[in-house]
Amino acid sequence: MSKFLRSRFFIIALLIAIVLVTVPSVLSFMGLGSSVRSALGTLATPFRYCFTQVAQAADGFISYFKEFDAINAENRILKDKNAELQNKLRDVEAIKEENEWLYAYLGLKREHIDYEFESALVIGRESGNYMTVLTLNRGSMHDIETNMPVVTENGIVGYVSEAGANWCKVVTILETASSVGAYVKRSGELGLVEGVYELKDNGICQMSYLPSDADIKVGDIILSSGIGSFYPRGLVIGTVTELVPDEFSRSLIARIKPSADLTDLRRVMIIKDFNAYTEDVGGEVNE
Amino acid sequence: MNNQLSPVSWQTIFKKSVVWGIWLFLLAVIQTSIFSVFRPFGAVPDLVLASVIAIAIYDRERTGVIAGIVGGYIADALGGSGLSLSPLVYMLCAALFALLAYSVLRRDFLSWLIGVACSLIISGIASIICAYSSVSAAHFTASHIFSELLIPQFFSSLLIGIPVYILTKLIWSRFFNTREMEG
Repeated sequence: MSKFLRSRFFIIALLIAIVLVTVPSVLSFMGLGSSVRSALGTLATPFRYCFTQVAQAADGFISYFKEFDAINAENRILKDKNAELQNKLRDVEAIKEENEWLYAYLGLKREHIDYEFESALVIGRESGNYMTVLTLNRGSMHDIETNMPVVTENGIVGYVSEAGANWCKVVTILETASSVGAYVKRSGELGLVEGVYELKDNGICQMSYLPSDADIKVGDIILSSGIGSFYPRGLVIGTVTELVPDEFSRSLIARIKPSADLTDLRRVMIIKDFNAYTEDVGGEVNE
Repeated sequence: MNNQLSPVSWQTIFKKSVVWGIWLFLLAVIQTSIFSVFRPFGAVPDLVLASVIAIAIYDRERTGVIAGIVGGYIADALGGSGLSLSPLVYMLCAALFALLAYSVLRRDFLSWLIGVACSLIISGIASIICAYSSVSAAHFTASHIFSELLIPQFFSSLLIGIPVYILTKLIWSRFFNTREMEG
């Protein structure tokens, strides 16, 4: 071993190593660069660039797995938050809808301050062979009785045909079992609005017992007269869409499109009480 | 053990220069590129030193000494530090463990492991000296250098040095493991 350490080769190598340590250090302290170091750096740069790009790509790939748990946890939190926000959004929409409904109901209430309303939701719609009946979520527990009128802010829906403890069934004005004493708002012409089986599916009812020379035209608004039925006076029934002569008598039949949208009902008002009065054509009020 | 060196041809010298030169250059590039992104234990492993020790153990002391000088110089050139003792340290470590491998120890993985571990300690001490000699030494304490730099580099170099050792030995087996070179 000592023979090698004393050999000429080792001594020369040692001197070279000392020079290679000393010269670059001195040059570095003097602020001067080494051309050899510069050349090596230049030669290595493209290789280092390639290797660094590969390393960074691999690092990104590995980071995906390293951060997978964190990303997963964050994803779960965001999902929960999203679900919570979706629920809140649904609540907001429901509140907004209710707000609109109450606003319309407020208008209705202002028009008829004597009415006692009970808000109800349509929870069912049963279609039998001859009749479509709505089910509401109010019943005798809420002082609901049969023959109470059911309305929306737009107009008459029908009447309560049957009441349970917390439910009731409503027959609409389109049904043949329904009839409403009515008059033309513009002219005061009296008639009777009834449901017709053949027109029911078209969402149309008809106003009968109009004289052939009745002052009525398409577009006229039909209101409840309060005569001979359990509907109070002044509620909107619908609009005249067509006038046809009655083939069996010398009278006129007006086809009526109900103002209340009976196909997409969700909320209705049951009129539990009102100051029932009738008014003849002459304007005399009777209670 | 036979310490007699056999005469080597200029062809062999040229071949060794090219092969080991390219290999050490490649290791230095990888050390300063890939392992600047991936840092096992938070430190850059000293791949060049690991390879120099392997070269010294398998290809004998002369080749190890030259590999130490060249590898140390390349590592410093690409590493960017101003003052560094790497050529000297690598050369001396290569000479020492090449001689030990052919006398006291054996030419195997265990010898390499011991050689690299001792060389890293020596290199670490040299790094402390260089760090204290540099302008920014005021920001370092010996304990900081030891715990934050040298110990992580020690374990990082041992871990990543194993595949380097395997590859170096493979290169030596492929190109230089002949009767002519063993002598």
